[in-house]
Amino acid sequence: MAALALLVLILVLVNYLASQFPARLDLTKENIYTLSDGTRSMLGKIEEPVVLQFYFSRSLESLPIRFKNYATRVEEMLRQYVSASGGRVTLRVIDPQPDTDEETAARRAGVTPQTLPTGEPIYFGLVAIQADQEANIAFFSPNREPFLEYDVSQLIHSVQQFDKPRLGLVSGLPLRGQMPMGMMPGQQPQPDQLVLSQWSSAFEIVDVDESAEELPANLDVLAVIHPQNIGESLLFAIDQHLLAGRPLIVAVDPSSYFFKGQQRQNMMMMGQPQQGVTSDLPRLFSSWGIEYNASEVVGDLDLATSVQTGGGITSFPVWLSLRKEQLAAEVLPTSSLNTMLMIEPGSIAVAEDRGYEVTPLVQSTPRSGTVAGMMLSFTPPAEIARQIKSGGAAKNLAVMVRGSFKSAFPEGKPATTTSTDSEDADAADSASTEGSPALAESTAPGTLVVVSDTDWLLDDFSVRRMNFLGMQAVEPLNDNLSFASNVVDFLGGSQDLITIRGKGSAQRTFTVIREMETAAQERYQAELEGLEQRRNEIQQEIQKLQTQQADGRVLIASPEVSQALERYRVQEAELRTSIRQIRLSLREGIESLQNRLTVLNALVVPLVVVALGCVMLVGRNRRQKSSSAK
Amino acid sequence: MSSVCTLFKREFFGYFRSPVAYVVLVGFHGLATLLAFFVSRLLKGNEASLAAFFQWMPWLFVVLVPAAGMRLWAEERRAGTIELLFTLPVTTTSAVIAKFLAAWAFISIAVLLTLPFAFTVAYLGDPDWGIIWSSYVGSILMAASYLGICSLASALTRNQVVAFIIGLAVCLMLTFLGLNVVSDLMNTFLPYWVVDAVSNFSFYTHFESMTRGLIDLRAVVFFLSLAVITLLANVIVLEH
Repeated sequence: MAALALLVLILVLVNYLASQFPARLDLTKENIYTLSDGTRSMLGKIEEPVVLQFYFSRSLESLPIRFKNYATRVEEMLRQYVSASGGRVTLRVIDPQPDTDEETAARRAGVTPQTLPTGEPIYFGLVAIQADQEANIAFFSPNREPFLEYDVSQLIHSVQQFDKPRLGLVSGLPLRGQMPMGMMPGQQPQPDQLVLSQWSSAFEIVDVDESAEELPANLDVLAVIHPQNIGESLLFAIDQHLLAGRPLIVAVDPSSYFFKGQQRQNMMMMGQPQQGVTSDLPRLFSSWGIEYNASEVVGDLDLATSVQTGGGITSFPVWLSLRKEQLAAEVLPTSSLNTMLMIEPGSIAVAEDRGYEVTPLVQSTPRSGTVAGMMLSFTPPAEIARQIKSGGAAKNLAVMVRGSFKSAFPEGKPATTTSTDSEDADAADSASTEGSPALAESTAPGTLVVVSDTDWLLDDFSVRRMNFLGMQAVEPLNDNLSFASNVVDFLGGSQDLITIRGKGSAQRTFTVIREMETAAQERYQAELEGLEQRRNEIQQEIQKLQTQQADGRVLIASPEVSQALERYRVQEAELRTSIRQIRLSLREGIESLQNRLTVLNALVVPLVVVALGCVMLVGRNRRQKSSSAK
Repeated sequence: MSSVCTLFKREFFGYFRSPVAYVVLVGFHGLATLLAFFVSRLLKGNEASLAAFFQWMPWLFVVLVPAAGMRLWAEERRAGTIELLFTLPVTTTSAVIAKFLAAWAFISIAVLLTLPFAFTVAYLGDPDWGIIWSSYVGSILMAASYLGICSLASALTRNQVVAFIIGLAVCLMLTFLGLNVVSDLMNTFLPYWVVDAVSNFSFYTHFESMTRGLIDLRAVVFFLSLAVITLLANVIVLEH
């Protein structure tokens, strides 16, 4: 008995010891439980020790199991950070009981509890402390599980930053508030566009004039918005910025609604057209392998925006109201967004032979096509809709490209047109001084985000301003500004962290069944289009008959009209039946495939086992009989 | 060592000389098919993974393993062949190990007979094979600890039915411990650290991480240590 008791004791002891040495093997394809190289590299650069305080109300009685499991995952992840940091990161796990010092500390550190249906608060957050810097994740939402590693790495990275990162801004679009012409004394200047205040919360914005010769030094991110008249030298500086491995955001536009409006005003006031409706960076794009046509605008019948105009509600097929399905779910800048609005955007393609890692961030639907930007001003929306020829493939409206880029200036820095004794050039802390040679190719992988519209950045298309009890209040119309700040935050963070991708969110579906569904859909799509066309024809026919009738001033339906309507009804019914049959046969096809597979699984193995059994048992009986006969 | 090998062969092939083994294999497969394809509707979920199937594995084992393990010693005791066995030049320990390994191999075959499920899912989509293999490894390791318990139960009695029932009861209890309802229930009258410690002795908790594609040292140690300890107890029981 004593021996058995000893065995139980050994069992408990061995398992207790094993629990002290977390070691594991991650067999998943995407290594979802393993820290990525980006995080390891970031941890390797920590100089001062970082303390992580993980607050979780583990002892709460009514704790939902969803939180308990996720907290275990989070804690294991944090322990991996500790072991990968080589002692530079330490972890304290704290269970803040109600009305204790720990609870007060949690609240003071910014960890905000969520209230359970039972009324009890649950703390589930993280605080990172380095010297006097402190940052927190107020609450770990299980919905953000795919981005857990990014969030924690970003937090640890943020406490090591003492200065705000610098965002260079080269903009041909007036994002800064302008002095209105003929301003009266005492009149308020126009405020900046809200996107700037979004960006300035996390970045120090450094404005760069389009006519500048060089970029200021030490820019962490550069944004080039609606480039108009950028000189050779600045183009060279932008090129070198990307090639040096620093992130770049470019927003170009085949048809700037803002400048079209200005143009109309100027035409009226002074009778002169204004430039600036389209923007492009042809020289840089062609060497970087970015294909973009500044004269083509993307229209999409599925994403058309309804706009209140003088003549009622009109549907604008080139104003794209983008839904969640059009925004990439597995990458951070777009994962949490729901809607966006882009005004007359273009499309971007990336050369396939460059070996880039290409991530489309925003895409149109496959029912999109292009129209010439020139046409938009004098073509009614309905006519534009008719002109859109669907290419059957979704178009990229915003895309992230990562890889090694080739310089647009392989022969080095272009000769400057202005004399070098210009005071600006001297004063500017030049990023590419005479001493440093021009890069012909990326020295470190660079990240480039290209967006094919610029109007989305403006307040007019992103927020609604309201006057609330004499206070100006702003309400977002869509997630345009979130996209702007997400992209800049993402790119401006640690370059190690850019490589961290969302994990475990990729759903693995039955591709065979999906292909069957798509094939069937294509079939009835063709039928549907046929039906639509037939309906139009008949409508035209009826209209023609009716105009003929109107001439004769007969108001009752003539036999011809009735016949045409009848013919149409019969045909419509036939087509609807055939669509129904395609759907039915698809469902039957899928079901019969599933049934066949189920039956195969249920029968084959048992039959093989029984057959083998028979062979074994009968053979054995024979041998026994023959040996007993002897 | 060689005696273990010889005994293992005798025991392992012994299974296939009786029709009962085939019935158990077909029964296990039938039950697995029923749970995976009809209860969990593996093919209707449009998800290329076997998670819907592996969630049943502990429950399948609760039935299969006691059935495979009940005769290990009870049968020898009843038929009186146990004395005969110990007249052979083998130690109790090697006999226990050999019988255990034979039964483990038999159960592993039963588990691997469900591999066509994985091929079916791979035919329809692109599953993460890492997760599938880790689930199979987890299943086979978990089978070892279930079997250790059932082998011990079988050594305690000469009646196979009693051995089956003891094995089933203990396995069921150790499976249940990890379920939320049970830990919630325990939470009402036990401090949470006791509940956590008790939950850590559940098959479910350890197996669950393996079905997510994670082979955790703690889970491997848990399953193997439980098997080793129950086999040591088995030896002690037989020798007394």
